[in-house]
Amino acid sequence: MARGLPGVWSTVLSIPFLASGAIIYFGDTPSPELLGAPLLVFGAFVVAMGWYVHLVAAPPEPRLRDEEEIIDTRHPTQKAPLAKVGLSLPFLFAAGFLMFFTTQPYVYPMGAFVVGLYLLSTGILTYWTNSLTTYYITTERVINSFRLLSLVRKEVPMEKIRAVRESKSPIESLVGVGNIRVASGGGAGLEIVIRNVNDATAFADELRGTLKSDG
Amino acid sequence: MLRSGAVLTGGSLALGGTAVRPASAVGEDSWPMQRFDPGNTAYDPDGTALKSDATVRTAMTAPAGFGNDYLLADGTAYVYDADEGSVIAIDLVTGDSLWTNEIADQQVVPELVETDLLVCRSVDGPTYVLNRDTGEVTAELATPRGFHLGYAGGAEWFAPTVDGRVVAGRATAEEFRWTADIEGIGFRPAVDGDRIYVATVAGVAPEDVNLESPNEMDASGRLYAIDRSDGSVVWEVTHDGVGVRPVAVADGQVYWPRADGTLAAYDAETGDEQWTFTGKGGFNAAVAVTDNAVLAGNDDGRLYGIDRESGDQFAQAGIGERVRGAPVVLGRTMFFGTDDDAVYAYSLDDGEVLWEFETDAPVRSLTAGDEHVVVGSTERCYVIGPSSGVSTGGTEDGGGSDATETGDGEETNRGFLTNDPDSELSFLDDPVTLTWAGIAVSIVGIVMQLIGEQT
Repeated sequence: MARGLPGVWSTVLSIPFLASGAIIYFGDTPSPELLGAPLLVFGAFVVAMGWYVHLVAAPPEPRLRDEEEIIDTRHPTQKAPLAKVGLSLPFLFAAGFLMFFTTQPYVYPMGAFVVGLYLLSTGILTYWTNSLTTYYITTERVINSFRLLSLVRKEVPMEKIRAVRESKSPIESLVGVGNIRVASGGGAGLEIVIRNVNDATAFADELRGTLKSDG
Repeated sequence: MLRSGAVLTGGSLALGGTAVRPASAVGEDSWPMQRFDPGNTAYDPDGTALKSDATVRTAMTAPAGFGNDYLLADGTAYVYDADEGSVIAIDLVTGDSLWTNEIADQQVVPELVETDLLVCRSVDGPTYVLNRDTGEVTAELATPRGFHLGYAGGAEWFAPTVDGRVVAGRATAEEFRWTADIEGIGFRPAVDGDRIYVATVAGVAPEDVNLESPNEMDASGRLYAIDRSDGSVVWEVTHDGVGVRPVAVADGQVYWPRADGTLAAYDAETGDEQWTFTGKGGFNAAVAVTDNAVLAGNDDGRLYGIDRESGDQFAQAGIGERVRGAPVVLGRTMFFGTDDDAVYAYSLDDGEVLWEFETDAPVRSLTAGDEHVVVGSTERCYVIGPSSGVSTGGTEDGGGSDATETGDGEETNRGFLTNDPDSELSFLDDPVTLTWAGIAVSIVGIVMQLIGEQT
């Protein structure tokens, strides 16, 4: 089972879409009934995907080699997706207000809807992927484990790491998380991006320390 | 195309001649009182009718009640909300709501406009005088509980009461001019010359009055002619069946539509019955009276054209559903509404259907003028105008697909960049398509990203 309660929180997030969609579609409102259909579909999609993510097996721990030990295990924090979801709400509320309580041209409610929906969608997406992702630093490798349909495991051997870079988007800076790019110098295929981790700098330093001790 | 397959059979409802415009008319094209004039004829021979391209100007959640129409004056429609007890002024051209006054808890009906005043009566009794520009109540008359108001012009009004009286007053004077004792609960009087005519339902308590199904009442009908100067009863007619719609009077003839399916004409001077026409259902809508015809909607799904002199039917429009949106006539165009949720415009020259407009519920109220029609269903009030006007977007058969209701219950047409229907990107005016597009892009984007992570 995935970390956290993605099924529950996805259901909570879908409630405004399902409720408003049902009211518009089945109720006696002045809005076109069909306007409720896409809202219902989106709400149902969020619920279904949320529970799939919730119930799908989390990636198992990697099998360690002889004398290999796990130094640190990290999960992406959910601060960044929560911030995106939080940011989306004013836009979505504004879109609803402009749509149903004013007669402003459609460009205004739709503009707010697009921005809000983008933030919400990327927030939910990040939340789900974070729930299914685990990072490991062992004495020999850096491993990224992800499992949605099937297990995907990327790893970079310590001896091949050539660079450790940190980066933060504005929202990530705001909520105190960061990304660490671990490059092997062997092309993009041998690169791991550790996303949305707390204390990214400390984690990067820990990684660099491991490299030095290896060297 | 006719949704109902309505047909006009028999001769056309050709009309001729003119009727006298009421003295209180405030404009060339106004509908200054209920049923247009003191005689309740609902016939404006000089009005400019909407003959084609019926398009929704606005639609608002304001249910209409039985037996009441709307008013028009100076480009403004005065409508009511039967549920909220409010009166609303609407600009005919833009469809904008100019003001709304929630006057009372019970239904308040605009009865007449006189100069800058709008006079409304509450079912609960009081008569309110409003400033037409602001909607503020400037005076309140203590008329007893009752339906409707008769008007003779010159600020002279007549109010039937539910306790078997008609009270007469002038302007806002506190004292009634006279009180006439009659039997039963009266409905909107018709005024002609020195007499007023009022139909009543006798033998039923006010709380048992059934306007929807009058025949279910164990009651009988009365028709009174009352002297306009002192309130004395000149003559009285008793009928076994009841009529709960206003009578009409024109040229010395009184027309009394009744729920038992009879429509009778009486000599206004003597009260002698001149003819009776019988429909297959009840006449539960007020009639329109032109120079040669009485136009009467029936519950049998027909709109009858009856010769005023002989009482013979010379034409009929078959709709198939109850005609309870009382007919109104502008020039040679007749409008009426039905329980199949539609309003029809008929040419009285050739009997052709000029247009029909689909509402969301049975039609109860109608008023026309200035090339507009104001329609009240049991759910909403619509202002319909020509498509060449401002802020249009509706269609002939059912209103605008891009009409959107605001939180105030008002519905106006919206565009993408502006609300002008001719604006750029008007093809994006459909919110359903836009929302589908946004949702679809989001879902596809999420799925693609997840698959990308997987690979």
